[in-house]
Amino acid sequence: MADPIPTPTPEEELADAYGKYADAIFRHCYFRVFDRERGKELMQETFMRAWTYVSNKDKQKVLNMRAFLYRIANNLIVDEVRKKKELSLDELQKSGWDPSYDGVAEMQKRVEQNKIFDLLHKVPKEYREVLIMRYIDGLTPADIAEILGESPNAISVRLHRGIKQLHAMMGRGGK
Amino acid sequence: MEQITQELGKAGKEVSLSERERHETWQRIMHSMRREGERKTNHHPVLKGGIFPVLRFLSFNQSFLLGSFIVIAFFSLTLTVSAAVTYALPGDSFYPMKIRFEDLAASFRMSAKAKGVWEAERAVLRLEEAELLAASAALDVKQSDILRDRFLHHWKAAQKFASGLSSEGDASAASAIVDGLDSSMRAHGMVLRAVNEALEHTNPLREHNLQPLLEDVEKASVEVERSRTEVDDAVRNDRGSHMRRAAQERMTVANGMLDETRQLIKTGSGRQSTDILEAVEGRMHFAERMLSHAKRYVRRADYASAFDTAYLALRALEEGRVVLRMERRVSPEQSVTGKASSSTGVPTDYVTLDAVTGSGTSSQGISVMATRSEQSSTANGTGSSL
Repeated sequence: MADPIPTPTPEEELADAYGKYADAIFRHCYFRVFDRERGKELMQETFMRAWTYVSNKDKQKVLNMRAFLYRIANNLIVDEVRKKKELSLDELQKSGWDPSYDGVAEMQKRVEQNKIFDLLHKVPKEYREVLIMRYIDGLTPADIAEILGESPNAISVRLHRGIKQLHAMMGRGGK
Repeated sequence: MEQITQELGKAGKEVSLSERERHETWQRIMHSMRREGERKTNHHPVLKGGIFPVLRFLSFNQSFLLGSFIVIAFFSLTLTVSAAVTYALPGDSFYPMKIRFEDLAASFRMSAKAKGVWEAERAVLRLEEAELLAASAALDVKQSDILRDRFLHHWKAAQKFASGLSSEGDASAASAIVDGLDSSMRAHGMVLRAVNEALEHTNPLREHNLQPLLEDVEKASVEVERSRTEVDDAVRNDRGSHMRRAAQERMTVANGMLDETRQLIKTGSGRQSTDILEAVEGRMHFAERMLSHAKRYVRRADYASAFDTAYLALRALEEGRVVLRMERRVSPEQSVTGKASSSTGVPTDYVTLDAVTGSGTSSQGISVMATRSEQSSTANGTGSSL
């Protein structure tokens, strides 16, 4: 008789989730707050909160770890935005903000990135959120729907409208 | 449209954590996880959500709580043992410890005068113990023998120190020892006689074991009085400032005792019987009169008369003090009212302090508080008077 598969401990579960989703959560946070260091902090906080939850025996078992982590990150970002008035991209750039990681990215790449950031920043929040999740984080509409607690149809509609807005802005030269 | 989504995906791929960042962040998460685990281990659900921050603080500081508990337990134990030792009587498990502590206290007294005074106090303590045991009809032969031996040992030791000081020419220091011994022995002799009389009256068929000690006290009193007379003579013969100093010392001691007696009455107010209060207050008035006379003698530079008069005040006050102190230590459960001494069917194993004192006052000074047995002798003019 084969040995039963041992149930992973909360630590093992979290370590596995970190290996799989740390980059994705960081990216999501980064594109939402436009600050690399703050993005890292939010990613760390997300995993710590996840640990607090999964290590509590009284709580329900997490069935979809990715959706769970995104939901925590999303809540943290909402809190962050509430606490701190969002800075405009122009203000960020004036204050020396640089979206590149090491500051030696190619000029072309930076120009392209700046364009994307600029566009995303101008899109209304409800569209920006789903656009980042869908096209930057690579989540399916069903995943986004689970994270945001909405129906997949509503997400699909919002994505469609968000893309349309982006397109229109690109056609106007970003205005 | 396609171009936009490609641009976004491309931008997303550009952003990622370096290996170092991933590792550092994971280390920080692990550290927080461990801290969280420790906090959960030390968590006390009993006080969770309580309204007392102090209790919550204590619950998270177990070592502080344990330390406080040990300190409180230590002090409580010390106080309990201390009280048990102080009030131990022969037959109690703490009594040998009480005697050891007294021996230890004796070794800390350096001068012959201090040692002599301490031995006199110890002799008196043995008499007090006998009175308390006898008053509750609990004095057995063994305890009586122990107390007699110790009483004899202590008063003789005190007497020896006094004689030594007197022969060395320090009659004033010798006087301090024999004054206390003589007045206390007289007072306790009076109480013991009254207790013995009451016990015999309530239960004449029973052996009360007080008689041998009472005889020892009476013999000792005679010797101590003789010794005091000799010391007084030595002081009187010691002309000049010594006489004056000795008289003033006696007056100071008597004034101190007067204050102490007032304090004893004040702290025990409401609990003392009227007879006892009247008798003690009569003694206090007498002592005040004697001290007033002594002051007058001092002003006339008649220090010998002041010295003698102050002694009368001292003796009267000692008698009052002894009775008051005994009454404080004999609880109402241990004694019965004056009816106990009559044959009215009241339990006869106990005697009351009321039986200790005679009633009525007189201008004859010392005889004011004469016991019933003494009253007849006082009436015949044999009681002390000015």
